[in-house]
Amino acid sequence: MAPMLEVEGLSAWYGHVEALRLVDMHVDDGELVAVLGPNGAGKSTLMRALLGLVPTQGRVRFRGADVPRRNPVAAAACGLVLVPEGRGIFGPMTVAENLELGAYLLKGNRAEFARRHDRVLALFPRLKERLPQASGSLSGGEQQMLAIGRALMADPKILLLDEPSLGLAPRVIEEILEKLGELNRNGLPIVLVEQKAPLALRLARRAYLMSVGSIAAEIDPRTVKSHDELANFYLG
Amino acid sequence: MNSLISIWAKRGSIWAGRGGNPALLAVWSLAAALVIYVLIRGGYLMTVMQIAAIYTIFVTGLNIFMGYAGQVSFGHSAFAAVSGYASAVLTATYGWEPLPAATLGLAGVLACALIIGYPTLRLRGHYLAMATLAIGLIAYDVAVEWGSVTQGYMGISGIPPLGIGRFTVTSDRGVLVLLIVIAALGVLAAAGIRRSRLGRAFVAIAGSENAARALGIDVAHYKLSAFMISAFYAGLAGSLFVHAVGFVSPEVFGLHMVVLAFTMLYIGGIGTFAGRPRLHHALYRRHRHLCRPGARRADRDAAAGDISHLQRISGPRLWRGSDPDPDLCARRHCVAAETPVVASAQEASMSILRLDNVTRRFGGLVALENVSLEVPRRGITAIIGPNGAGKTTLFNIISGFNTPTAGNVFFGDENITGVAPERIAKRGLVRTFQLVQLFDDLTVLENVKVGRHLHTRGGLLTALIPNLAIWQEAAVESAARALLQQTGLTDSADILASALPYGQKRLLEIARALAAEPKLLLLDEPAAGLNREETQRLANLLRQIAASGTAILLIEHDMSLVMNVAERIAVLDFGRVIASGTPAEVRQNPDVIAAYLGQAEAALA
Amino acid sequence: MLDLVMQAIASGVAIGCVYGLIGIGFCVIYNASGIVNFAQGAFVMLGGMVASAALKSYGIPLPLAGILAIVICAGLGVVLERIVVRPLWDRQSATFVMILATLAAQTVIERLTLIVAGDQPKSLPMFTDRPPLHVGTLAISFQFLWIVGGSALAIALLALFFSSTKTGKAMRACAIDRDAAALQGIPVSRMLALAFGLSAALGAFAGVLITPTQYTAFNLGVPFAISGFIAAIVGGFGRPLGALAGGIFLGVVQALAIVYLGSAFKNIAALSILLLFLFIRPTGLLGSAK
Repeated sequence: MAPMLEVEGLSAWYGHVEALRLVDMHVDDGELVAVLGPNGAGKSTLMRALLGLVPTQGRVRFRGADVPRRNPVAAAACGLVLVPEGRGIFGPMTVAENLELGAYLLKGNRAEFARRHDRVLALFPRLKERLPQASGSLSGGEQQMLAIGRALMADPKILLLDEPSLGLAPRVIEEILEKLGELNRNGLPIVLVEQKAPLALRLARRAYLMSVGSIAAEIDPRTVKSHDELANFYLG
Repeated sequence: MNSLISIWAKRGSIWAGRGGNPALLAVWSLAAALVIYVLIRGGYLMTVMQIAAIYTIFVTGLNIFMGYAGQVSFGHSAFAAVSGYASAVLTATYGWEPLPAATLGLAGVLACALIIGYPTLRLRGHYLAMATLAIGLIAYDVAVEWGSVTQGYMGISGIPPLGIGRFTVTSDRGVLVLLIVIAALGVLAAAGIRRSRLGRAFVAIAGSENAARALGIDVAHYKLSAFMISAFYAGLAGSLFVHAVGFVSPEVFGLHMVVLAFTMLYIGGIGTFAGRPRLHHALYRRHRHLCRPGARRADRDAAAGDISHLQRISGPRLWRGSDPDPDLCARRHCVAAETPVVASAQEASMSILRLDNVTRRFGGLVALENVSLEVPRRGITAIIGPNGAGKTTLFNIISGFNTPTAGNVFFGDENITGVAPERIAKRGLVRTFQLVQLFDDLTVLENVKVGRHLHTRGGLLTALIPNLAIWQEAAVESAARALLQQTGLTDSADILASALPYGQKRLLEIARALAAEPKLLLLDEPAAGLNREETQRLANLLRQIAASGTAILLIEHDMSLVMNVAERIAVLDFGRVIASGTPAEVRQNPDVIAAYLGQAEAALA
Repeated sequence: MLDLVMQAIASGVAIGCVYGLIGIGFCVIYNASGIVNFAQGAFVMLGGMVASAALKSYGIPLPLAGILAIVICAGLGVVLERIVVRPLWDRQSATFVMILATLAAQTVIERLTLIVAGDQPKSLPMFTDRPPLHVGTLAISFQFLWIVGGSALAIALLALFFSSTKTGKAMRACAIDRDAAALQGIPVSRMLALAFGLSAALGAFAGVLITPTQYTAFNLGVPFAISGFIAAIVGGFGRPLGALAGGIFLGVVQALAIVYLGSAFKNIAALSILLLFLFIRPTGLLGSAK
C-alpha cells in the first residue's frame, strides 16, 4: 500500500542558506515515526517545509495528492496539522478560544464541533477546568496539551509535533507521550520530532536520524542496542 | 508625462548602479550644468535649475542621515526653515549682511539638531518617523503662527541677494553658478564622508547596530553626528533658497518638501551619491513643468506620489546602490601586510575571563543560575548544551548586551558587569552573533575595515580633508586585506557583503572581529549552517587564530567542531553548568549524556 | 471663565472621540500586521467628502449617504491593501518603505480628491436639526450626542466583533502569531485585507460624524491622521480602548490650549504632546498591549 505521506527530494532555504538538502522520507498509515537529531540538524525546518512555511523544492505527497507549496492554509485543509516548536498558542486568548480556532476550517457544523471538543476534553481533562482562562497563564505542560488539543480540533489526518518535550518536566513529558501513544493506537499517524531520542524511540516504530540538513540514517528502535550508539551520534 | 518620468527614473537607476569615481561625477555634473547654463537664457528654466541645485544640497545631506546611517527623518524641512527664516529675518528685517545671517542661522540649526537629536534618536522605526514628522510640522506651525517675526502666511519678501559687502550676486546666471558650485562641494563632501572612517561607521550602524557596538562604535554618538551633519546641509539649503528666490513663506517648508526630497532620494538610489545631482535637475524640471502657473498642483503631487509608489513596487534594487571603495592600494606601492598579532604573552594559566556566580532571571524564568566559569588567556574554550540552556544569554551578558540579575563578569582584572558593549569591545573583547550581522551596504573589504575602528582615529575633519588621514587609511587597507587573505576572502573583497554565500559570510564576520585585535574572541555558533568542508576550514582557522595569541570562547552545537578544536568545554543545561573539563572528560560524563538524550534509564524498546 | 473651560472640555471630548476612532483604526491595522497606515487620515476625509457628494449631488438622504460613504471607503481600504501594501508586505520590506508607501498613497488620494472635487470645503448638515440642550450652563449640541453616542456604539460593535465572532478571533490570532494562525488554516493575508477595510470604515465613520461640526476638504487627511496617531500613541499603541482614552485626552488638552493660549497653539499643543509621549513614555498612558 502506498505510504500516507511521501517526501521526495525535499530541499528548503532560509534566505540563501540551504537548511534541508534532498530529504526523502515516508509515513505509512497508522505509523508513529520519530525524527531525531541534534540541534541545528534541520528537524524543525523539515516540519515547516512540509507545511509550506518556508520556500521549498521537491515533492510532498499526502494521501496520493501533491501538497500545495508555500500554502499552510491549504496544507491544513488537506489534513496535515503541525504542533509547532514552542507550541504557538495564542497567549492572550482563552483556552476555549484557542480550541475554537483549531477548528477554524470547520464551517458551521455545530454537531461535529461539539464531538471534537468533547473528544479533546476527554483526552486532556485538565483543560476542562481551564476553559475560560487566558492560555498564557497555563503551566508549560498544560500549554502543550492545549496545543495538541487545538491541533486535534482540526481532525487531522496526520499529526506532526515539533519537540513537544521542550522545557517540560519528566513527569509531564510522560503524561503527554502516553496520550500521543493512545492517539496513535486509535489510528492517527504521527510524526514526532525530538531532540531527546529515548523518549521518542519508546513509541516510534521507525525513526529518522537527521544531521546537517539531511537524513543520516533510518533506524528501527528495537535494534538500537545501547545508549552509547546514540551518544556517539550526538556527541561525536 | 508619467512615462517620461519613468524613463528618467530608469536612467537614474542605471546611473546610481554604476557608482564610480565621485570626483569625476561631480566634474561631469558641473560641466553638464555649465553647458545648460550657457544655453539657458533665463526666466522660468533658470529658476528651476536654481531650485534643483538647492534641493540637491538638501537631499545630499538627508542621504547622509537616511542613506548612509539608515535612519529616517520626515522633518528635515524644519532645519531648512530655521536657517531660512533666520537668514530672511536678519537680512530683510534687520539689515544684516547675508553671510553673518546665514552663519547664525546655521549655528541655530546645529544647536537645534543637538537638542532635538538626543531624545529623538533613541527612537526607532515608526516612532522615529512620527517624531521627526512632528518636528517638521511644528516648525511649519511656528512659521505660520509667529507672525510678529515671520509674517505668517504673508511671508517675508525683499530678501537681498547673496553677497559680501558690495559684491553681490544679482544676475540669475551668477546665482545659478554659485548654487551649482556649492552643491558640487556638498556632494564632494558627502562622497568624502562616505569613503572615510566616519562614513564607514555610519553605514555600519545602518547595517547592524549591535555588530557596530560589538566593534566599539558608539552608536548614539554617531547617529547624532549624522543627524547634525544632515541638518547642516538642510539649513544651508534653506538659507540659499531664501536668498535665491528673494521671498519666503511657510509653504516653502511644508510637507511637500519632504515628499519631493524623498522622491529624489529614492529615484537617485538612496545610499549612493552618484545618481542624485544629475537626476535632481531632470526630475525637478519635470515636476516644475507641471507647476508652472496654470499647471495644477494636483498633478504634480500625484506624480510625486506615483513615482514614490511606482518605485516602491518595481525597484527595490534602488535601495542598494553599489559604491565600491576606490582602490588606493592599486595606485601606490602597498606596505607589506602584517598579520595583526595580539599584544600577547601573559601567563597561559591566568584567566582572561572569569564569571562569578552569574544569574539572570526574566520575571519568573531563570535563564542562568550561578554560572561560574574561567576562560584561560590562551587557547579555545567551548560552551555547549542543549537548546534553551542559556548559552546566548550568557554571551549577551559577557559582551555587555545584557546585565546579570546577580553575579559579576571579570575581564582581565576589570569588572565589566553592566558595562556598555562598545566599551567592552574597547577593552579587547569582541563577539560575533548567532545570526550573522554583517554590514550589508558595505563591501567585504569595508566590513573588515570597520573592524579597525577602535585602532584608528578621525571624524568629520578627516572625512572632509582626506589627506589628513592618508597614511592611516593605507594602513587600514593593508591590515584589512591581510585578514581577507587569512580567511580566504581576497577574491570577494569588492563585492557587497550581502552577496556572499552563507559560509563566507560567517568567515567575514570573524575576519572583521579579528581586525579589532581582540584579546578574547567570542564566537556564537560559528559553524551554524556550514557544511562539513566549511566546518573543517573553520576549525583550521580557529586553530590559527588561537595560535597567534587570541583566546577564543565559542558556543557551538556542532560536536565534531567542538571536540576537534576545543581544549576545555563547559556544559550548560537549564541555565546551570553541569560539567566542565577536557573533551574526553565531558564526552563520558553521564550528566552530559543525560542532558542531551534524556534520562539514561529510558528503556530502549 | 469656568463656563468657557467647561464648554471647551465638552467640545474637546467630542473631537476626542473622533480622534479615538481614527486611532483605533491605526491599532486594528497595526495589531494585524505591524504596519502603521499613514493613509488612515485620507479615509476620514473621504468619509465626509463622499457623504457630502452623495447628499448634495445625488440627493441621497443623509443616513444612507453616510452608510454609503462608509461602505465605499471600506472597499477603498481593501484596494489600498491589495495594490500598495500587499506587494511590499510579501517582500518583507523595511518599515521605512511601508511608511513611505502609505504616505505616498495618502498623497495620491488627496490630490485625486482635489482634482475630482475641487478645493472648496464640503460640509454635512447636522444630524438633528434642533437647538442645543442646556445642562446647567453648558450647551450640548445634538451633534455632540451623535458623536459620542456613535463612537460608543462603534467601539462596542468592534469589541463584540473581536470577542465573539470567529473572524474577529481569527484576526486577533493573526496579530498574536502569524505562523501559528496560518497553521490553523486562517487565511492570514485575507485577514490583513479585512483589517484595512475595517480601519477605513472606522475612519470614514469618524469623518461622517465630525463633518457637520467642521468642514472637510482634500487636505484634512494628514492632520486627521496625525491626531489619530497621537491618540493611539498616548493610549499605548495597539490598545483600542487606550486609543479612545488617548483621543479624548488629546481633544481636551487641545481645547484647553485654545482657551488659555489661543487658537494658534492648537496644532503645536497636539504635536508637543506627541513628542512628549514619544520621548518619555512611548508605551502610552496604559502601557503597550504587546
